[in-house]
Amino acid sequence: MKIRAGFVSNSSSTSFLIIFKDDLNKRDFFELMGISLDSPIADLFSEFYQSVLDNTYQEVDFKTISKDTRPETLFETRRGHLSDRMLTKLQDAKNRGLKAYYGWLDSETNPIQTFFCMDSFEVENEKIYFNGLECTW
Amino acid sequence: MIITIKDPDSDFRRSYVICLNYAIEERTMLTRAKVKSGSYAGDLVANLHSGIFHHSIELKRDYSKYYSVEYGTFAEYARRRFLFPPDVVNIISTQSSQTTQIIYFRPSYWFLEDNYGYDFLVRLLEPRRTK
Repeated sequence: MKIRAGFVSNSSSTSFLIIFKDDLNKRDFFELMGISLDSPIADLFSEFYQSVLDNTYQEVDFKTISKDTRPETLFETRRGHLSDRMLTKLQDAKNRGLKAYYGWLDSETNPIQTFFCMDSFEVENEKIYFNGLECTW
Repeated sequence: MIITIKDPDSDFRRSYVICLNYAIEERTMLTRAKVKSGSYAGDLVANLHSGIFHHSIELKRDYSKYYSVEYGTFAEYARRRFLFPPDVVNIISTQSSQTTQIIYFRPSYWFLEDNYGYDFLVRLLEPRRTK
């Protein structure tokens, strides 16, 4: 469960950061999550993957990244902040020529997305970095 | 056998009574789920396993150890202690003589609260029923 220091309502959303080299695909996403494509519970992670695709918003412009930068154009009206950890990851992504995207998950779409919206995790392998740990709003 | 219990005050909240003849090891559940131990999916399944087999009440043991004096029958215990509906009480009373474990599982994972939850649990706990 994420900890949010602010107003809490019946519905919520949390942001995520995802970094990858070329294009995000289901096979790599499942590999990152540690689940086989033919798993009997694959549908849970297929829905998660689709939610990520649907809600991955805009590629990070590395030129604008700084500690008090708004998290790109996604949150035009909300001033956010980036942790040192995220900044390090973004700097590393920039240096390695990777793509970085911000997106969000919400608690209104379906129970599966609600679960992943509320869960807190950071996963990484050689292909993908996924930060679902720090909400930037 | 897995019995779904709908919360009378909610459209989506569910709890489950899981009747089994044997405990399922965490490793077995991870293998069934085809998830890698220590991964995000692996931790999710491991936590689900822990929720069912380590943090839920096993009703037969709970009754015999703590409540058999207070409640004359297992059915009475199930009805009065948990306010299970009569049809559920009848089923688990029958199951009490046919299975070794009757687990009352109240999920903490949000996606197990809706209709999806029953199918999900069947796939991991009773995989033969899904083939």
